[in-house]
Amino acid sequence: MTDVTITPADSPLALARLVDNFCAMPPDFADVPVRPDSLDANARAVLDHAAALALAGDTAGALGALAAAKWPGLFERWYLEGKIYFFARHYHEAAARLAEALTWFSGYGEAWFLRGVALYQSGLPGEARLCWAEAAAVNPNHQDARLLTRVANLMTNLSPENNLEAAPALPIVSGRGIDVGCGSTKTHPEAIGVDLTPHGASGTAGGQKGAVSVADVVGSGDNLTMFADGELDYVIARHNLEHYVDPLKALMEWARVLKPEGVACLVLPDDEAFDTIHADESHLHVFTKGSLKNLVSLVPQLGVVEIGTCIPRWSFYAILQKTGPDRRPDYPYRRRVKEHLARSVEIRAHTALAAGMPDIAAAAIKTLARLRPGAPLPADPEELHPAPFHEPITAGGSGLRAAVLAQGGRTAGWADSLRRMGLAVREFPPPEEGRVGLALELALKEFEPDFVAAARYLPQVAQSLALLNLPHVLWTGTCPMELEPWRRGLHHDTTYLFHVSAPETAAFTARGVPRTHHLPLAAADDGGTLRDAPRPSHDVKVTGVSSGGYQSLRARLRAGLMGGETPVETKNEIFRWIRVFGSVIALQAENLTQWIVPRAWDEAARGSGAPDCAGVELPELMTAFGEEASVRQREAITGRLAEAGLTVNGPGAAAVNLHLTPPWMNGACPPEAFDVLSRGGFLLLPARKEYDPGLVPGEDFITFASPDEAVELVKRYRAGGPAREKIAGHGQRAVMERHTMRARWESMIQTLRAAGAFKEGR
Amino acid sequence: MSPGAAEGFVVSRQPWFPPPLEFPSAVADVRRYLDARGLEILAAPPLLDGAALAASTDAPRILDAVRRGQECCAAGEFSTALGWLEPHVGEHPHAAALTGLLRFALGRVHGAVAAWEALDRRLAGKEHVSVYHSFANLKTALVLQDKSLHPEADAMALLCGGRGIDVGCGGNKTCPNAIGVDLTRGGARGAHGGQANVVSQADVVASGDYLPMFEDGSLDFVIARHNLEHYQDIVKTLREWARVLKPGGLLGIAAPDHDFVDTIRLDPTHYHAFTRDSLRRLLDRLAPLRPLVVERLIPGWSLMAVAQKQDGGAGPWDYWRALGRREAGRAREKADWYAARGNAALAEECRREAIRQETDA
Repeated sequence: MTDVTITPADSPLALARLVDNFCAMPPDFADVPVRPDSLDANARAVLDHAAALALAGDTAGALGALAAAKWPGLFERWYLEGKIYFFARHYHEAAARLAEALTWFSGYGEAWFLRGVALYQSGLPGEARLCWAEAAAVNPNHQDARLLTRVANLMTNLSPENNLEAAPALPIVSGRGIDVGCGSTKTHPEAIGVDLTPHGASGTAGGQKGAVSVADVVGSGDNLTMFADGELDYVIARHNLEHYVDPLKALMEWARVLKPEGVACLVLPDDEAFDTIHADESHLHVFTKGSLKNLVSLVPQLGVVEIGTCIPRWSFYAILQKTGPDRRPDYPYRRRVKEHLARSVEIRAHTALAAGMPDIAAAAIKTLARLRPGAPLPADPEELHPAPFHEPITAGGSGLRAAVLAQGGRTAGWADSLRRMGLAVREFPPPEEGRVGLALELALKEFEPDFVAAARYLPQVAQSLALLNLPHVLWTGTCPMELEPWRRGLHHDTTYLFHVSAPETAAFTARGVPRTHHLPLAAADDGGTLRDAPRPSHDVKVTGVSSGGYQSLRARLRAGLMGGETPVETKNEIFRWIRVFGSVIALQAENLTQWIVPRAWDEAARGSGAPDCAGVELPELMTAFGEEASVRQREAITGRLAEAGLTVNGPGAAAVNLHLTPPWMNGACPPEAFDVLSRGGFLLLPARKEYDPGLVPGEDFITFASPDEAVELVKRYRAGGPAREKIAGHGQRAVMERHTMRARWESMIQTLRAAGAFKEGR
Repeated sequence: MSPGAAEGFVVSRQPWFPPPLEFPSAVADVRRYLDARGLEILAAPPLLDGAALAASTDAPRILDAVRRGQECCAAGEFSTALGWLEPHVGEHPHAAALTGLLRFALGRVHGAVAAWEALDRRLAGKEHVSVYHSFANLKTALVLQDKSLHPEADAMALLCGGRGIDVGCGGNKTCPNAIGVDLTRGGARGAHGGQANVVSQADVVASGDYLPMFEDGSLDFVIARHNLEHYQDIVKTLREWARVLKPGGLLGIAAPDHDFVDTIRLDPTHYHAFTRDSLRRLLDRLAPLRPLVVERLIPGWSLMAVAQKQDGGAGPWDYWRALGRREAGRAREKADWYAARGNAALAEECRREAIRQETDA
């Protein structure tokens, strides 16, 4: 694009024209392999093929080719799909695909830019501007993005709708209210303007220097004697609170003049983004999202409804509600935003229809359908501009939406099981650098989940999710002790469902984190383990063997290899064991020992045909894992079992399964226990003060207090009998009923629903 | 017209009190000098005569107090004179100058420094050399030699019982038994504001809003001099200090006073402005803390706040009582000093001052 000269008077048209110019450019798919290193040959072939089809005009074929090649969601795949939709003038679909692409990789400016154009055409100019700004930030050389951002900035003062900082305040305007520090532009014409500078006079400081005030009332915002207690429906204060010497007094004054249930919208410069105190000589305080939240917590009448970014790297907004000390704010801000947005999108749809622009009208109508489900639409978007193929319907019977923050492969099984339950699920990539970035924030906000499930409790992620005001977060996995200070800070209005162990839940509750629930989930990643398996054939199985065994095995293998009189066959056998052993060690290095070692061992043993051949005794062909603290206990038991002539070998279910949990696993059932029980195995576990509710010692498994007792129990139950069968059967039923992934999700969702967590009738 | 006339009072040009030592090499020199000269000046306070008072634009209430204070000085009733002059230290330079001299004569050296500090703040930026600058110079000499004489250190030292921290101690740890906490590690030189190029005395390197090295309820006191205004999130910071304090533990804060100075422009790392009212309001609402004192510390310059962590039962700690006792002790020491030198009249004055301090508190 070339440089253009624009006067503010015609800038709205100029922007529309520029965007239209861009949309009229010929399709170009040359930049799709953005990160060539992340693509294998197959992926490249698919991308090239689809791009060629799209260039040839076969949009449906190109999309079909992409859909047929099912590799995991990657940036390039979604980016190409977005571009295909974009050049086919399906802007609504293009925006969604590009958003998906950006959740996988947010560092490509062109993707942000295209998404901005698509959003603009879909009737969302505000979000478009954010995307263009992001594009220019990600790639400062992106001239188109810079141009559009500049033009959009020019539009800012023409109407409040165009002002990103006015936008968060507009949905709360209803009834009688004030705009404190209105300066030369009132957020809404109906608001009563309050300013220190009288109407018609010019401002003297900061951004209002020389601007003519439109104040209706002259006064300081922290001393509103002209308004009675509880007189106003709303208070808007944009870039105002940071100018008071006593911001607490100002907040209390605003709380005073608000009606009960009244709402305030503050916009403040974000000190996390830049040095705000020196931005204006009359700034007396700095604020961040977190510090504002803390400050508001000192005013008992006010509650934080939502805090979010206004202009990235510049300002943030906070929606506060006057509630009273013992009530959570319940102002339906999101709904109001949606309604407000829907109104402006509707206007856009009507204008586009009247102007005979079917693609833009269709995109706006689809946006409207998303924002205002069930309402009559101006026209049928599909008829207006038929899509190349139908969108699959994902909305399930329960109508709930779940966002799953992926942590490697662990949560893939979660998402599947949630989908099978009929929930609309979207997976998000793991947050970069431990924080939820803008791309993820936008994507999450757009998706609007009822709850978020995250595999691992990460304090930074927790903090960012807290700022997003997501209603419910289910954490699983443990939180290491060194993260204590962050946990302490997690007092928040949002309900947190911490899904850790029972003692940890108790600790959270004691610390005052509201609405903390504990839902037993010992095996976090048991997606594929609770399957039917053949009944056991071995006598006794012990999961976990001492590191002593590992050392002596290595010594013996080495001696066998070096020995001159060892027959060649034996040496070959030893080499085979070493290979098995090598794979065991490799897997152990991936921290997956507890699950995969046994299987690897099983396969190796089956392959050999004779598990106890070649002079290498099976008990020692196990690897060491677990904490050193439990080594002595293990040796005591395995040694004595060996003395008693009991075979101690491989994993899985056996007649008697013995598991030695390390001492730090107090209260939690080890994942292996669920595995063994689900296969109908009989389980012996060390006695603990308590185990997770859901499995009962003595009914589902037997506990032992000392090595002597363990050996006795092994001897007693090894012979079988109805007692063993009864306990094993009870344990199996308990696990299959309550601890399959589906059962666990159901109990979580039930808990959430009982707490009144979900909006009905979405 | 004399240089001070613009301010509403007349300053004698008579060189009655020339600065004897620009910056003496030892505190003892200043003390000796003041011991010798101070009493002579007090015996004939020459600064304001009736005409000057009449021409002054100050409030009659203040001028009356200054006049009565001068008369008491001349009559040798130092303790009574202090009673008249002390309330106006921040309002009238003459009251500040004489109060300092009186306090010194009565053994309250720290108090004298505080009065002259207020005087100095009032004079700051005024080009003319006046007799008042002599007192300011002597004050600077004293404080440079002995940092514990600084009024803020002296006010906060009252809190230093048991185990506690001095957050943002920089090069001026308030009391030797405090654990110094600073972002600049001990021995390194500071980078900003008043601490630029000052060698830090930190024992613990940490930001004051994140003190995981101290357990909940493990400290008897937390002192933060000119520190709170540097944090992004003051509420978080105060809650962190409240966390590490024992129930009943004391928090001492000194901060620049925005009622008198544009505190934000003082230092590029100042992020928040405070006035007496706003600081009190803030502390009032921080649940575990109970503000005991929120007052101007150095008039025209800084604020102080003392807050106590609620202990559910025991009554509040009395700052003023502790302060009065300490000042009374200092006066009594001086009484013994005078008595040993055979000056029974001044010894008696010091004892009266000690009683006044205790009863006022």
